[in-house]
Amino acid sequence: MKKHYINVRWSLLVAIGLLVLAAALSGCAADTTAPELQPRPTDENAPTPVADLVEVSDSGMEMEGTGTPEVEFTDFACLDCHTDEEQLKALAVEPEKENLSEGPG
Amino acid sequence: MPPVEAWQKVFIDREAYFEQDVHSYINCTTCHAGQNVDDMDAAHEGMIADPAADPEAGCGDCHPDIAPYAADSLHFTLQGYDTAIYQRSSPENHPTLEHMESYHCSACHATCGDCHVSQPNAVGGGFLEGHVFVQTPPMSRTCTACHGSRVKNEYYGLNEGYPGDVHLRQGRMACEDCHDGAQMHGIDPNIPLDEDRHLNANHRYNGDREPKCESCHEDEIGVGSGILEHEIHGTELMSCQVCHSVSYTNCKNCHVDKTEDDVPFYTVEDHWLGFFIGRNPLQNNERPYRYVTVRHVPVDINSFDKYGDNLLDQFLSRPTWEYATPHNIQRNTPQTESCDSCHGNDEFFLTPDKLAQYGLDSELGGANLDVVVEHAPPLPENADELVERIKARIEAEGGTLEGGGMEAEGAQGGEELSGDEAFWGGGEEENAPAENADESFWGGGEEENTDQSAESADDAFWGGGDEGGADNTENADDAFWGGN
Ligand code: HEC
Ligand code: HEC
Ligand code: HEC
Ligand code: HEC
Ligand code: HEC
Ligand code: HEC
Ligand code: HEC
Repeated sequence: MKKHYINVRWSLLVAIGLLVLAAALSGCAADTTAPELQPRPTDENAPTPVADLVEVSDSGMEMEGTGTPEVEFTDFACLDCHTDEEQLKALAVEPEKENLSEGPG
Repeated sequence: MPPVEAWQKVFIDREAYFEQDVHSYINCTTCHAGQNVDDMDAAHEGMIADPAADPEAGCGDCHPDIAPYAADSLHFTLQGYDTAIYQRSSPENHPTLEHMESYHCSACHATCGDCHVSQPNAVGGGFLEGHVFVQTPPMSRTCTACHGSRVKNEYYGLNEGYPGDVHLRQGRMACEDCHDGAQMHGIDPNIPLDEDRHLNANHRYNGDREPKCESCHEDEIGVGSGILEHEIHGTELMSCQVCHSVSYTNCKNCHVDKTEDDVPFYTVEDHWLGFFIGRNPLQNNERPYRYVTVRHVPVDINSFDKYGDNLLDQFLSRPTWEYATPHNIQRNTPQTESCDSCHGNDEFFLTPDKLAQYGLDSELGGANLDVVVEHAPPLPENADELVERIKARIEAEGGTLEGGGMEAEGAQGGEELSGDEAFWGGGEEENAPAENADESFWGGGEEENTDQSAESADDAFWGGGDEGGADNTENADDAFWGGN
């Protein structure tokens, strides 16, 4: 039915491309009008337009300018652990919980 | 649901998340708080396991058109439960009942994550797709994981002897095809974007009637449809389900309790399949019907006794048989086999003896008197004449009339009858006991059997059919809904 991962993936690639470009140019681009991120109306299921993602990058750029480093993913300690199967197996605790309920819920 | 091990529940699919998800550039700690450090305990200090637990704080910055509404939706507030419970009790009992709800209702409470990121806690949690935010919630792992005992069984055809809903079998429709994002987010799509779009319903049946059967079947209903039953009854006398639904699950006497360690649990004394036409307990502009299908509420006067005495002291101020919209729509049903399978046939109506048969003695009287049907309405004397008139009109318009049992697919062996006799089927048949009618309907018709086999074809993608929650539902969903 309506899944748009492919589109999102492509959009993302394009967005990252633009982001790199924007980062390279940021020194001279004095754009102070940070467009607000406005997700589209709920009842629309159109694929994510590239423009939306660019807006995300743009506002990120602004934040960078004001000293809030939000645009790049840096939480590798969290990520590395949560993608390491062995480590998670060693650390995760299986909760002891039995279902006492009976009948349709 | 597939059993998910503890480690799996927190295992992120690095590739999928970073390749597919627009959120992956956001730092974990921006949403989850905590610290980006190697030591687990230190990393988890102050962490928020479900950032969507406060939707506005967690998602509202970027989804301002959704989060404020979703935060007030029935899924998030569970206000429908409050409404149903508080209506049946005096205000002084509400605090105790609220305390009870904090134990027994929180597992059903749905955050953004329960539809878009994880399987609901009620089925043990676990990511839908390795922390990817899934745009369309996969129905068998989200919607029917919570809406399991009634909707799921009806819709998938898991109630023995009853095929799945025609919208699944024939239409291949998922929950979201009717219940769109706006409804799930508590948004009224008819209100413009820049205004307050709250749905403003404190119970699922007291707001707008959405979704509506009419919005998709406009040309096939009411006068002008060419279907006798539709022509005669119009669209306001009874709900569509009165003719198009089959038996559904009813429960009684659900009791809640908790162990010494505060682990909540419940027991249901009894449940059964049944089909009941009652008077509409909620008649209003949106739901003008005189007759609707009604379902027995799971709650009884003593359901919450473990938390206090006589908490539901206003129990009979609301009926114990409530307005219901079963999810097992069929084109042909036992009650529409002929006019007389319904008219004059008490079997399908909530008659006074059924109140006593299915409920507790304490349920006799009160608001139930508004729902109960003394006797099935007889076929009006002028019915014959009306039918003739409709037929004449339709023939004059060059159309053909359907319904009236004439084309009860397969069940009638395809005999083309004509004239009055066709409708009235020559007396004897009409008066056949309803059980036989059932049999010929559900057993006989070839068409029906075709439908049933369509159902087993579905098995491939529903993951084994008998239990929507079998472990291959995941793949099943993907295959069905177009994968990713
Ligand atoms: C009860 C389930 C449910 C809950 C809870 C829920 N959603 Fe949705 N959401 C849906 C459905 C259904 C769709 C429509 C999917 C489709 O049509 O493909 C959707 C669509 C979306 C979309 C896609 C674009 C759009 O506007 O339709 C976004 C973004 C979204 N939801 C965000 C959220 C956020 C943020 C929250 C919490 C504040 C949330 N959802 C809570 C079911 C839910
Ligand atoms: C920093 C901004 C940001 C935050 C915070 C954020 N989102 Fe999103 N989200 C987006 C963008 C951009 C999109 C893509 C455009 C769209 O569909 O609105 C998106 C899309 C989605 C979608 C549609 C599926 C998809 O991947 O395209 C869902 C569902 C969703 N978000 C849920 C959430 C939930 C739940 C939260 C809170 C836990 C949240 N979002 C927080 C920016 C954000
Ligand atoms: C975590 C459990 C959970 C999940 C997941 C869930 N629901 Fe619900 N849903 C509930 C509960 C609980 C209520 C009752 C809320 C009330 O009445 O207060 C409800 C109410 C509803 C209602 C009636 C109220 C309304 O908002 O219209 C509909 C329709 C519905 N759900 C459809 C869906 C669909 C479709 C999905 C999947 C996209 C879904 N639900 C996912 C728990 C869930
Ligand atoms: C846009 C906000 C957002 C970001 C960014 C985000 N998460 Fe999540 N995360 C969520 C939501 C929403 C859930 C679903 C919670 C639920 O439904 O119980 C979730 C669930 C989880 C869970 C499962 C929690 C549980 O108790 O079941 C883990 C573990 C997790 N995230 C880790 C991470 C890590 C590690 C990162 C960074 C790589 C990250 N998250 C980034 C929003 C986010
Ligand atoms: C979102 C659109 C939609 C809604 C809402 C909807 N339907 Fe349908 N309905 C369909 C589709 C699509 C089919 C399959 C049509 C087909 O196979 O020709 C269908 C089939 C049917 C059929 C079988 C028709 C046949 O030719 O065999 C009946 C009966 C029916 N619907 C009744 C209802 C009722 C009653 C409701 C409300 C509870 C309802 N529908 C709501 C779209 C919808
Ligand atoms: C009094 C009983 C009755 C009521 C009420 C009723 N229907 Fe029907 N409906 C029938 C019968 C009988 C048929 C035709 C069965 C046949 O001939 O195979 C039918 C056929 C249909 C069809 C198939 C139409 C086609 O062209 O093949 C749809 C769709 C449908 N109904 C939807 C609805 C909807 C939506 C409502 C509510 C607005 C509704 N029905 C109310 C008895 C009813
Ligand atoms: C599944 C149930 C059901 C079926 C099948 C059914 N009816 Fe009805 N019919 C009703 C109900 C309920 C009423 C409303 C009675 C009342 O007002 O008390 C009704 C009312 C009527 C009325 C009065 C309409 C009015 O506007 O007041 C006529 C005439 C009628 N039916 C004829 C028929 C004919 C002819 C058939 C067969 C072609 C038929 N019915 C099939 C349930 C049914």
